[in-house]
Amino acid sequence: MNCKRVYKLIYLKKEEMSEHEFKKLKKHLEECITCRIEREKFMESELIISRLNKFETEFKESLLVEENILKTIEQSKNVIREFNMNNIIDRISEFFTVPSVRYIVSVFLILTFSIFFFEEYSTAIGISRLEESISKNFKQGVITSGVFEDQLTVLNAIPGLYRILSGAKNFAMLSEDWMIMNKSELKSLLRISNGLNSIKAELPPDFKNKYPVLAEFVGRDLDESKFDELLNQKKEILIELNKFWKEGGIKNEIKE
Amino acid sequence: MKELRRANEQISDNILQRCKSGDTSAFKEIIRKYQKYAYVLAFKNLTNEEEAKDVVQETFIRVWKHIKLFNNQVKFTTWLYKIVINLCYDRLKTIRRREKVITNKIDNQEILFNQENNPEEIMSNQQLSEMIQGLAENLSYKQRIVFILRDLQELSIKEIAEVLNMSANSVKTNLVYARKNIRQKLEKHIK
Repeated sequence: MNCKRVYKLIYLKKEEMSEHEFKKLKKHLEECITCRIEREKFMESELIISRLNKFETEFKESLLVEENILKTIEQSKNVIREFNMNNIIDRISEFFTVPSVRYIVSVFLILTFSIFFFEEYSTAIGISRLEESISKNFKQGVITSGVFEDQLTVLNAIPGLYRILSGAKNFAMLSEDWMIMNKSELKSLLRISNGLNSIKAELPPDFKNKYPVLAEFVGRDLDESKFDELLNQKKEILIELNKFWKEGGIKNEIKE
Repeated sequence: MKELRRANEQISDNILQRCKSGDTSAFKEIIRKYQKYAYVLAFKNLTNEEEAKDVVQETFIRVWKHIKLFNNQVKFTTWLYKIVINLCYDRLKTIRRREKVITNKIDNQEILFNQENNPEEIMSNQQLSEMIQGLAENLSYKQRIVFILRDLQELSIKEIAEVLNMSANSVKTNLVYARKNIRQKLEKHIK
């Protein structure tokens, strides 16, 4: 028999082998002197080990740990009671240390910020175009109907006029707070800008006298009660403007 | 006091339930019953009294923390051995990083080879520690722990396989290499 086939069995005790394995080893040992010697040496070494095994491990009283353990357990209980909030925070922190959770949260944050910045960027581009358009209109001097007293108030009145026409009561002043505009406000502003551009700001005669409150609507500090008054007149103003602009041959209308 | 080498394998349902509901007096009974066994196993593994004591403390604190998850259909001792061995493994890694202490001290331990000695006498832990260190020198951790569990703690192959999450064949293979290594180390004394 090949020695390799019983190699492992030489170092196993009888009770660690199956009956078949034991018979196989026994038969091999009868035929192979080398393996027999190795087996004998192993058995002798096992005798020494078993002798070592009979010595008892010293166990001193100082090694008793039950009091220490119970003390630690009681302390940990108190810590949990006292710092329950900290425990919750720790658990949440632990939760975020799980790799998959960390990955998902990271992806979510990256997507959210990307969308946010994309929206902001789009808004900024839109506003920039609008400002450019207004500036162009202003330079061309097209908004010079006489309703407003000077060019500066005309420029300041644009957002105010937009407020009247669109009904966006909380619309901020263009030059300062354009960043807080939402999408629909921005769209409305772009629409009114196109409207102003196409109507060339021609306003009916006596418009200022008919709607005196409109003339007051050119400054930065807007009176909310006046604004409400104008808002109530919005429809009337729009009808009159449309009628006037139609008669004047202007095709574009501002939708109500 | 006779050394506790083979602890009773199961704890009673009553004690287990009380522990699960947070009764520390019931847990005290468990500690009393198993701490010596855990200590012997940890000491033979670490060959250091203080390190073994620390591991035993840590073991029971871990048992307490996770006792609610313990299923009584599994042998309590198997669960306990697993914790002790895992903690010993971590501790050994730390110790080995800290200091390289393993030296062949078996040459000086004539006590082991003197047939006149009374085997029932208590060997000092220092002597026992040196002998195990000498015998287990150059063994891998798996070989070392299989040797300790089988030849020094007298667990069956099946039990060792359960504790170490290994197949019985793998346990036997590690045991064979460990014994062969130890036999070669003891050869000059056998002569």
